[in-house]
Amino acid sequence: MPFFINIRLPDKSSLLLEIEKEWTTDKLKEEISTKTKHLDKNSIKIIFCGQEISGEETLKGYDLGENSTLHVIEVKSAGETAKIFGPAAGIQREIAGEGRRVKYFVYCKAVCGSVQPGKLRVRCKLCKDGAITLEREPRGWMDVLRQNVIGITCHTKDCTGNKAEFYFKCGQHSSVDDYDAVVLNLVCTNTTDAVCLTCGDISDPVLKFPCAVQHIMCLECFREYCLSKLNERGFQAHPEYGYTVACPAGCEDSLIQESHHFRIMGNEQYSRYQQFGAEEWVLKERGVLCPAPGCGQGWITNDSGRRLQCSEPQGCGMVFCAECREAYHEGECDLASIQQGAIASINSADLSQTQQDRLQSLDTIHKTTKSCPKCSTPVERSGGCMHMHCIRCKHEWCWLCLIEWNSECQSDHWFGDNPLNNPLNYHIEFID
Amino acid sequence: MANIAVQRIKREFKEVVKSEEVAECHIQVELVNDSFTELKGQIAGPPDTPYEGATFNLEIKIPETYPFNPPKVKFLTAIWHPNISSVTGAICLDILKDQWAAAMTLRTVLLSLQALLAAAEPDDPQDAVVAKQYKENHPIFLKTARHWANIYAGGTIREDDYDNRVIQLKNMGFDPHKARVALSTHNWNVERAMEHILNY
Repeated sequence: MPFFINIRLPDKSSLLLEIEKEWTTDKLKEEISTKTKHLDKNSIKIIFCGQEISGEETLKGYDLGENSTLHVIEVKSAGETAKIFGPAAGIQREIAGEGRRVKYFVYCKAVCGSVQPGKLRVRCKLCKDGAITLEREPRGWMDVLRQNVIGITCHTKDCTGNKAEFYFKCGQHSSVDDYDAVVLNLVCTNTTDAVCLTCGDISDPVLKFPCAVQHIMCLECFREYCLSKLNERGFQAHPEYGYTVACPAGCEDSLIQESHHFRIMGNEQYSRYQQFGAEEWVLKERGVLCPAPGCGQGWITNDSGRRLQCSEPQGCGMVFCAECREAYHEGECDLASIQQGAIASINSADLSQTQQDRLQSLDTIHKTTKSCPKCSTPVERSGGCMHMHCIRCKHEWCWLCLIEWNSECQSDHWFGDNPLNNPLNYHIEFID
Repeated sequence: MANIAVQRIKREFKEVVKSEEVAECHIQVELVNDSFTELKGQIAGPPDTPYEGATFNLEIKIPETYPFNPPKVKFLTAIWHPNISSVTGAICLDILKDQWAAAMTLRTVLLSLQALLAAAEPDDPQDAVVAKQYKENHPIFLKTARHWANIYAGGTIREDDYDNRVIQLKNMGFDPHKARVALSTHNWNVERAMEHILNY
């Protein structure tokens, strides 16, 4: 099957060439020579991914596809370019051992919107051109993920670049201009048929947690895991890795370091993830979050007053009470004052129905929730003991005393009334 | 319920059913409904404890987010134990709360509960009354636990003097269970137990 590839010539012009995988390097050089008319096939070398394509072998052995780019460099005499390495070989050995061929996996944001097999590519860090030769091949992921590790010779005229820059492409389609896919270094081929920690199935590819025992999870379970964590605000903020999660088996040192893995949750949930991460940061910096539903604005302030405003145009303009986070009101934070504040905040153009709805919902919230003593978020208690754990600010508090949870709460009224005061409140079956 | 939760529970259910412990009648689990959201567990009281020979029923509710969150487990059979509420059957066990890990299963939960019956942790109590007795009047705690196991859970060892005191109060017109709770709470002092019932 013939297909088209891009040939980048020494003068940086491009040539579209129809080739076949059965071709040898010689045949390819000949074609390039014929098409360009000025390049001698004996004085050029062809580079793909920092690797020279040479010898009698056909192009089959290379990961060439539609729209792949090959670089042509001119050499004055044979053997001028130093030994040229294949960048991919080192990593494949590290992960696969002798077994199956390992693929890289990327999150393709631009086209597929999903996890896809990826292609590893390399270019000059300075001029971003692929006509380079590597000083040595990468020995593993760290060489590839940390830039500036491996030296290169750049063959672009006048370029002084001497460091390699590795990047990834989605393997499902031809390149999209100016877009690199993000590699998911924890996603890998399930070479050992390991079972998913969660569902017990064997699937491929899988996500391998960075814990010592390398727990495996299928991507569907990983997605569910992240969603359940996200819904509980169970991600943790790490100074270096950002907003992240650890292995669900509770292993030490198992935090995911590359946040793009959370893209597996899908675009909508990933946006939520980013929003929560930002909110978490604002709270940690003792900042303020706008309480208006859907607003999402947060800011750091030294204002110690009770009247706060989410300033426009970035924010929604809401004026609210710093203590109860309801619309700003005079007096104590009781239902009547809050409702008055709510009415005052509705502009007169609104219909009275809006007012009614708003007052009713305030009433319901007031009756069914209690506010976290620390961050004032209304909390509903659906069952269990009196020990509350605020998922927003992480404060631990007592549902009855509205203070920080302490050992007295635990011994006096952990699951409600003290059994000594009310020992006859049975909800369980007895057989006598 | 989410697919993963159902799939997991089906797998774990089989694991329990096929386990050695089931073969030896130590633990058991059965389905309550078709959706796998609720199960009924059973554990045998461990040997050399006041619960020996008794069988305890458990309510196991599987949350939507299982196995990322722990199952909700409580005792259906009344039990006298520092880490289990004598009122509601609620359990205080770290792996059912923040120490839960997705690699744990129904089988490990049931075995951990059985271990809890053998080794209470009175410093982290669910039932403050029982915990106090456990620490301050241990012989009475052991007899009380044995008595409850005999009455509610089919334990084979009778505590005749405790039975007699319950009957004594029952004959005076008190509900036997209320009488037992009051007596257990007051270290089997009949007068204080009566006072307690009358005052509440």
